[in-house]
Amino acid sequence: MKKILAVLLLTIVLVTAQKVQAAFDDTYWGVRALGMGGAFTAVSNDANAPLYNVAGTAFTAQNEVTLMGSRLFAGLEGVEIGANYAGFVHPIDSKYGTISFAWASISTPGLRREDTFNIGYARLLNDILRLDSEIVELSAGLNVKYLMQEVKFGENEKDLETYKGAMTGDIGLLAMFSNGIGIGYTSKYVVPADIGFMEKDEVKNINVVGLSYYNDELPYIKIPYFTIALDVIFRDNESSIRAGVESYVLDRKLAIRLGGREEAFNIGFGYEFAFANETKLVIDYALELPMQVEESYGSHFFSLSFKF
Amino acid sequence: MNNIYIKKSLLIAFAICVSAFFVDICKAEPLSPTEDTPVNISSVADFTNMYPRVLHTKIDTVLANGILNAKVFTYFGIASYGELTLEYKLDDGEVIPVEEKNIKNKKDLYIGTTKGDITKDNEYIDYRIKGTFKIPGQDDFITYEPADAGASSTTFVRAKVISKIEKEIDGDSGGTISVFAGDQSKGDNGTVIVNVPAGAYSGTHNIVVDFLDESSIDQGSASSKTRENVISNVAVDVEGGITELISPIQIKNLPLKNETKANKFFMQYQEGTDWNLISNSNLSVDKPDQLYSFSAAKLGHYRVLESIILSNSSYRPENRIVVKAKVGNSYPGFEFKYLQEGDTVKIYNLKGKKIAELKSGNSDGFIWEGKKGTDNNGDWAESGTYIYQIKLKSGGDVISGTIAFVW
Repeated sequence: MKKILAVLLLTIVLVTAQKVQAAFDDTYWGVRALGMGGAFTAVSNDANAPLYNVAGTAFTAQNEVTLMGSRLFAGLEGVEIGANYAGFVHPIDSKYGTISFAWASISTPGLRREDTFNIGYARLLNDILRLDSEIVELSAGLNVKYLMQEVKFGENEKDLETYKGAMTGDIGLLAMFSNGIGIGYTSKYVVPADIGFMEKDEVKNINVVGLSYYNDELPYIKIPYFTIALDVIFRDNESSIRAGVESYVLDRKLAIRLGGREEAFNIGFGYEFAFANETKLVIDYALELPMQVEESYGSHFFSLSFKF
Repeated sequence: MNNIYIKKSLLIAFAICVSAFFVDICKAEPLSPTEDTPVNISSVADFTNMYPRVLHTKIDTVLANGILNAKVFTYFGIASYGELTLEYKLDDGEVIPVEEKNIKNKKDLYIGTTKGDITKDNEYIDYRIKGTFKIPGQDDFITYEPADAGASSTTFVRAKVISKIEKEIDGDSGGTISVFAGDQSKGDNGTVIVNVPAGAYSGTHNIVVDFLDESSIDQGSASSKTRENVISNVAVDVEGGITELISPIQIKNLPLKNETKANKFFMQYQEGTDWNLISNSNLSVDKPDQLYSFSAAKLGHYRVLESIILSNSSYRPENRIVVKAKVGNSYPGFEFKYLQEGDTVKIYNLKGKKIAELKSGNSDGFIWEGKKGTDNNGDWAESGTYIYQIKLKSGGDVISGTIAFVW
């Protein structure tokens, strides 16, 4: 079963990979994910999921809203970049699935910004495919999104429009096996979205295959509530890898995360405050230390999440 | 002592037409010998300079004692005269070939060329002169066409003409040479004045004030924080073996060769192969009028250095947004000014991944056109916001900033 699924996912990757031009990337959304280096495709199970793997929203058990603010590449004089993210996940029920809303923005004041407006839907497919939930839970999801690019042109380009936007979408799959292994796949920007001002500029399709493993207690080294995750990203003719780990301690109140990719090393923390009626408030922080950019104190991300 | 022998040299602007269309009408001929005490007016069209600037010597203001004798320096090293067309265009539009003498309204000016003057195989050989230029006058100008403009091009660039001033002056009684040498493209006819005070030296000697050929001059050193450029050169010389001046000669209102944004200026004096800073030159620079004046306390070569005290912001590109669109034959790109060999600019995407690096550029700095790889050798970068980091070879701060490149 696992082999069949892996072959299927790789086939999808190869078929959907295409070379198109454009901006928009998916690096800076969700503090929990960032603490794990962005390796979240096969982990997605909270309000950070819509932009990583919409299929993961089907695994959320309660409503959740998250708000994120950040400062990228702090310490660099002359560099002011902020990334913001807001996500909301509403699981309806097992029959009707889960809907989600997300907004992500990355901006440099007075220069340029990118905004993504996202509506997602996901559902577990076990009942349709007659899969045994004792072995695996499989979900699929779909995003419809609007991408918008705003540039503060100068006098030389005053005849150009200030905004350029286009519709596109994502698809996602996530299989969570009862032995703790998770396999995720998502293809983003599957519909060409032209955001060019002067020339055709289509956002590049991104395909991501994610693997994860969860155990209440990692064998031998006894790390509690441990998750390890790996994402392989294919975009244009390039591929890259993100990897991360997460562990919960203090009776699952405190999360500790590590991760990284070629250009950065990540570390993160989260603390959960539980209230009555399963209501929870989660504070997350992540630090990303760039490996190539010099003299930066790193990128700092904060978020508040509310589960109800 | 009172028998002052005057010999002036002024620059008369000429340009030369080299065109296959006019080969058969090129009729330039050597100068004829002139009177006993001629005033020599020599002209040099500085075709190395692309600035639309014309510095003329207005010949009818020269105190000529007799017939003026003009020489044309074509700066066409290996070109033969059979390939040239020289014309003098009058204000009323009439075009007169240069061999014609006694051009009306210009006193007794003789126009001609001396093949013997055209012996240098210099850097100007690459320029084709195609069109009309005139003997210096109020509305005269020289145009030329760069060699890479194409044979059928009709694009002409105004040439700059620089002056050489020459006159014999009795050093005991002093004297003055006044020459118009302004920038006519700006409607400016500034006067260059060479003032020899009484008692500056003994006897009568030929004073020559000449602009040196920049290519023959060491361009000086530069540091990363204080970038210096040679902006003007002048040689002051006295014939007759005099080595010391009793009192300095004042040279006023010399035109700067290039537009400058410098905030500090220095005067240097050449001794052997070295250029040494001099502090007693009374150098003054009139930036709005692009003129400078100084005192020469001794004879020899002088030059002016401009110095721009740079801050971190000096290196940053003024235009932070570039659209991938061709302007002419090139992409404008982001200009990182004042950078030199050894400096680097690295371009990162917002993931913090280096996507491009600049290690070289031109004399103005480095330019990132929006292409990946080293020195714009790769594919186009995607639309996006990018971080640049400038690193100077002299060390110091890493200068960072953001730019946007969009399609």
